[in-house]
Amino acid sequence: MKAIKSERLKEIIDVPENRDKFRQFLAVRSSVTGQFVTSKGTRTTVEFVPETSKAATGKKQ
Amino acid sequence: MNIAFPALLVFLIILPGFIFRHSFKLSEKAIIDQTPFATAFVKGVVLAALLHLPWVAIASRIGYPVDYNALLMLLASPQRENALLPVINAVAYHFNIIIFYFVSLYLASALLGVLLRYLVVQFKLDKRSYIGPLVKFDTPWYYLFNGYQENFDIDGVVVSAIVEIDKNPYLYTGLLKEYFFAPDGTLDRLVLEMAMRRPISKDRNSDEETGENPDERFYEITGDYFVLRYSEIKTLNIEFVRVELSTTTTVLSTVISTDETRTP
Repeated sequence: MKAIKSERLKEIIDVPENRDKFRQFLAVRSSVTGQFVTSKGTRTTVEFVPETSKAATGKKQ
Repeated sequence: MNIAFPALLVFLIILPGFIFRHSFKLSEKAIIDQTPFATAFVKGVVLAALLHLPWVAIASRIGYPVDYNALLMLLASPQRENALLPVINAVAYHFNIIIFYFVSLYLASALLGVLLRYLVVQFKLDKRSYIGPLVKFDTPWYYLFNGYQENFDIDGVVVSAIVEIDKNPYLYTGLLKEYFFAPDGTLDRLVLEMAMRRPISKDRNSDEETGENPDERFYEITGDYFVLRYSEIKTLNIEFVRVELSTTTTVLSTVISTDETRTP
């Protein structure tokens, strides 16, 4: 069964150059900011932030 | 009359209930339905009764009312064949109508099941407090990985799992792409994108001691997809990722996490 992966997320992580930043986010689960070009070609600033710090950073892995 | 005929007749009468259940039900089990027989039977009979109601009403409206005397006679199947002859003649005379009644009812039951399933998935009826328990599917993993309990839209699922290799526990993490079930409904394997791993010994405490950059603790697993066998996983952590878009900034955030711990 396919897991959820929205178009918005795909736009960011389907671009190979963005993957390292997303991996960094996966590793630290805390704020990571960077300039990204989405798969649609638009440039955007993406900030990876844990919305509820208790849930995300409280159990940093 | 053959002794099997009443049983066949009962089967034909309650079959719509089972057809409806089969077409509506979603399950992660491919071969084993562990619903107790009595429960499945009662549900099937109740559903069949409900499905027959409109068909009986329509049949009466178009001039072919159901002859309950004849039906009971067929079900009771008396030994005196003379008593059955008029009933059998009536069935033979209206054979096409009777066949049409059952075939149309079976088709409608299947279509209704598929339609209801679509409505449940489309409008998330299984999340509603009143109707939810009645229409919730037997798909615990689907609900877990889709954040069924959460009250926000999910853009992605990040999983972290502990796997032991040569008695050394490793933490694997990555974006969940797909998951597969064994025929008995248990989770068989997870497919991850952008998978990384690190020894569990490089945990936060040791990290703080060494001053190592947290993201350097992980190392990337080369490849497009990484397959984790569920049987080898000690614990599984699930985090939902949400993307918030604004005109200038895209904010990607993890929100709630759910832990599912297995005992080996």
